[in-house]
Amino acid sequence: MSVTRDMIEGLRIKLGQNRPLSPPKPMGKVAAPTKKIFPKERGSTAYAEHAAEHTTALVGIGHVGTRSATDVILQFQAELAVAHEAVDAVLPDGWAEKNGLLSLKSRVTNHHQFLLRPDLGRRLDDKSLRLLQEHAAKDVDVQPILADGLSAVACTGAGLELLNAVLRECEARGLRVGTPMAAQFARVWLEDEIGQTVRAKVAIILLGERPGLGTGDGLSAYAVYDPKIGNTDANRNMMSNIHARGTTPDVAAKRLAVLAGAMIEQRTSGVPLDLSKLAGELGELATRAHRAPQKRERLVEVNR
Amino acid sequence: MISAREGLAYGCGDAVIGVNPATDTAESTAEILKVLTDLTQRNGIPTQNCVLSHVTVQMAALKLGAPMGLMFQSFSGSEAGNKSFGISVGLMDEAWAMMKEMTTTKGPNVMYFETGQGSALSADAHHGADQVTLEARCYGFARRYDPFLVNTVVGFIGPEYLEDGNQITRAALEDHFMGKLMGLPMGCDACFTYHARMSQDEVESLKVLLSASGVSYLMSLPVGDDIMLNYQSTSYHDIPSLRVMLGKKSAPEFEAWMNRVGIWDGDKPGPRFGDHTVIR
Repeated sequence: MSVTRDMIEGLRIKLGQNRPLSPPKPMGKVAAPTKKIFPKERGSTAYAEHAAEHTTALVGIGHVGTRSATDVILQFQAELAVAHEAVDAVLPDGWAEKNGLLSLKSRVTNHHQFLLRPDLGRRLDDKSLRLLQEHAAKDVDVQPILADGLSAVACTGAGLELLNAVLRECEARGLRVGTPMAAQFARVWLEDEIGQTVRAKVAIILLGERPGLGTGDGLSAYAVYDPKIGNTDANRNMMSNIHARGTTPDVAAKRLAVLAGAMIEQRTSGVPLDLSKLAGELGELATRAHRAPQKRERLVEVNR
Repeated sequence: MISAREGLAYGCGDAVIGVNPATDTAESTAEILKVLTDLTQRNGIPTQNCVLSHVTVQMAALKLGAPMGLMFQSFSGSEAGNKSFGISVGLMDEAWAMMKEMTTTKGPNVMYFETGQGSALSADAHHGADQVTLEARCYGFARRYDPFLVNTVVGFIGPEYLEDGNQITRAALEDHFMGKLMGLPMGCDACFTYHARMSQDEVESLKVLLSASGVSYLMSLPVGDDIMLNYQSTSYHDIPSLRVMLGKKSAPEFEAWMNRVGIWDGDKPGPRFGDHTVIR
């Protein structure tokens, strides 16, 4: 044994290593956690429920110190995750073909580039352009295009239902519709090149909208008369908030068909299009202004 | 109105109570301004109101006799960019002159401007210049009108301009620095869209950075969730948190009101903190 180890051994004996252990202290009785795990302001719940009838803003949520209570944070994080998941989703390979749609892609090559380069998302890649020239019906009245936009989740969700409803409603009004198609990594303005290539009178792109908190499944529709590269947003009419809790695909499709009919009749779209006579059929689409708030889903339940 | 009462109960709103209108008409702008004035007068709250409609709409609302505390407009860093916003130097001069005559605000600063890197590029009006330079030009333009507030809405446009939390943080501090160099009362909407790579932790850190570096103003919303424009901003709860944490003060008149009704108690939340019923 070395001098150092002897010293350490001596120290351990001195500190009581060889003494027997004292009996353990009895455990104190741990109180059961209270039912109300996350403190809430007294009376705030009724107010929050009342307010929720008028706004989707989260009010009447109380506080702990100056910060939000844990249940509010959990709810927020769940909603944020829904939005991020919708943004990160990519259309599965072969999704369009599997659903009988002509499969197109913009000039974007990956999802990261899609977020950073809106300009590339507005133009078709060479292969898609050829596909469109060779296989799509030409000289149509309305060309509906389903696309991922900023939420592939919305596109694969209610997207097909909306596309089919638009095709059906347009045909019911005697409009000649184009070949059903879906575009990947698409921005709104991609409808200009597609519509121009198939010589459509009206192009309508149906795409996943920028997700909000807890709402990753919303679709928007943008319609334009005389689609051609170089059109701007002033040439378009748009409809947002298309999903089960907002405007349903059925209602949206009827309104879009009426809108397309009006565009063909007036030979214009966007700001100059007069929709005042169609207010009854178009609802808020006729006003170009009001947007109904989306209904908030409760994603996290907590003990109260 | 529900949101305004909630915010006031948390001690927010000392600079301005602003409403982003769903309908951009002179009549609705005037109506909202009147309702906000009723609220602040009924409760004796020393603050100002503002409706964020287009400047021409606000001018028309003034002519309708609307009580307007601050006049709002978004600015871009080039003439072409401002044209896409529907404004020019001549129009803003006219709006300012009108406002100085007709505002309900007693002080000399009656304008509120919002800016943000990337607006010129998104309007294809950047002439090849970088977005920081163009942003600096906004502040030069803003200074002409001796504004009460200039607010950079830093992460609003999306990842094609500022990709992630690092870039948004850097841009916010750049904007704050440039604005203060120009002698402006610089504020920031510390925010991100859900398709930018920024986390809630990063945006909360940014608020602390901005507050520590003496930002003049932070806006706030319920849980920071802009339900109309779908992006994430600063929460009502953040404002009192930052005040307590960093020893920041609200406007003195407003602080006196908060202490009087019990929302605040010296340097900490008071017995009525977060209680919306205190706003009648």
